[in-house]
Amino acid sequence: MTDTKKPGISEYEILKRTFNAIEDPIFYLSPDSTILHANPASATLLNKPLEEIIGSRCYQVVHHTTANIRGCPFIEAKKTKKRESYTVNLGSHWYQVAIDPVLGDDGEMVGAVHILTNIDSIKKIHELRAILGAIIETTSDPIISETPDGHVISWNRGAEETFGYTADEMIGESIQRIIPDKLKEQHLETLRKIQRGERVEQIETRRIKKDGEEIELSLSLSPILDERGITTDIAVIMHDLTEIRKAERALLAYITEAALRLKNPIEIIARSIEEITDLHMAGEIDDEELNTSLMIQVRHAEKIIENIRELQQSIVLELDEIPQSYRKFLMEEE
Amino acid sequence: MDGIETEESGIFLYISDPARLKQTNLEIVTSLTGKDYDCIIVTTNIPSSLLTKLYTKNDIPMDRIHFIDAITKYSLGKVPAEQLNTTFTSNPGNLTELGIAISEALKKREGDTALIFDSISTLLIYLSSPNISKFMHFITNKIRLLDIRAVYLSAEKGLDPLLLTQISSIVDEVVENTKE
Repeated sequence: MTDTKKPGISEYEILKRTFNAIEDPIFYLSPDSTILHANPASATLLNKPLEEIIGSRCYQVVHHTTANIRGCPFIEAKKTKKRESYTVNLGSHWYQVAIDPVLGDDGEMVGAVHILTNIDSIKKIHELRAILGAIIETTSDPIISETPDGHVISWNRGAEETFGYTADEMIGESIQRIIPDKLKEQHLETLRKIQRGERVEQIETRRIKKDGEEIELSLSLSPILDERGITTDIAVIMHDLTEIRKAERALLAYITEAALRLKNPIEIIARSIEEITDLHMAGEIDDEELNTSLMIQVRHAEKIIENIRELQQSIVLELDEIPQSYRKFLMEEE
Repeated sequence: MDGIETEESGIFLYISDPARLKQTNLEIVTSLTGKDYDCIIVTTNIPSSLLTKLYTKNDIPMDRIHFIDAITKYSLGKVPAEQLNTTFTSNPGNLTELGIAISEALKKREGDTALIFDSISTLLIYLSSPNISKFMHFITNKIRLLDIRAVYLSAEKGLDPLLLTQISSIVDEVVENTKE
């Protein structure tokens, strides 16, 4: 603190020290692109001593070209006499370059200050956002965002395909548009939970498509928090369960049918044959009665085989998911 | 045997271990004939000739028994030459024929009568659950109008849950007779 009060340090010296202390590279160029001043951060950036940088043409040391690059903002700033900026990749880093022209009394540019700001982290965030955006946009699952009071902010292609509404039709609209009346209150309660900062995972529920069809889906809702931890938006990831549920129901129906048409009747046949045999062995029924009883069980068995064939046929005809080789096998069994 | 032992008329669903179905049939018929009931036995699994033998051996008065045999003709392609008190239908899956046979037998009844249906689970080999459900509703309505007794037999786990619920809702009592 005492040093700054020393009368011996001039304003120029303070500014020079400041210039040298700034971590962002700074150049001052003459109108013909000659670097007249550069701070130590510039030397670090270009990996050259300041003596080699100062006096060189900007394009020689920065771009390693023999003339100004096409679209050079410095040339542009000469014309516009206003700040110009662009992003450039130098080495393995990205920089935002701002060129501020310094104008003389006659209004013409006498030089320009170049300040390079490292934007690697911003660039990475942008790239990550672009990747995430592409994933969200290309996935077939509906992914949307909404305001805490349930107004749609974004609506991806998966949502368009699943619900039949375009993004234009839904953005700004209330999400209640796709919620069945009986589930609207439940959804409002979910929103209240999210507003408290809670995450809601894997709710199985129903929504309505544009054509009025009701579909089954699972939802995960996550609050999008600002730096204060306040819910600003809600991210909703959905997965259409209609086909899965349909397959589950078909499977359940098949298992039930298979049990009824196969297991239980065969159990009855087995018991009956056992009884008939016992009765015959005990001499309680004669050969003719044995034959009659066995024939009944044979007819039962034949009917069961017929039932199983019918079941196979209905599965082959109704389920598209059956691989072709199995379909052929089942059809040959007909 | 809770349900059938009561003195009142009513409709019962007996659910029995498959190994005990025949024994359950015998116990029910013994109990009912013991109370001077005439019994109409609808059989879809055990041939009436065999049931006759079984009943006779157990001293059941055969003049109180009328069989509706839905399986013998279907299985053998012919019917026994001399078998009294029996109506043979052509196929267990032919519900029209079976319905007519039951209606005719009920018309001829004299005195207290009970209908024993043995069994719904065997009928499932030949018919779909919805068709069986409709048929049992039809038979049950008839029995209610006549105010007589009826017992429907089924093997344990022989009915799908929906059919079991439907049949259970039209009978007065479900009796589970599944253990020795």
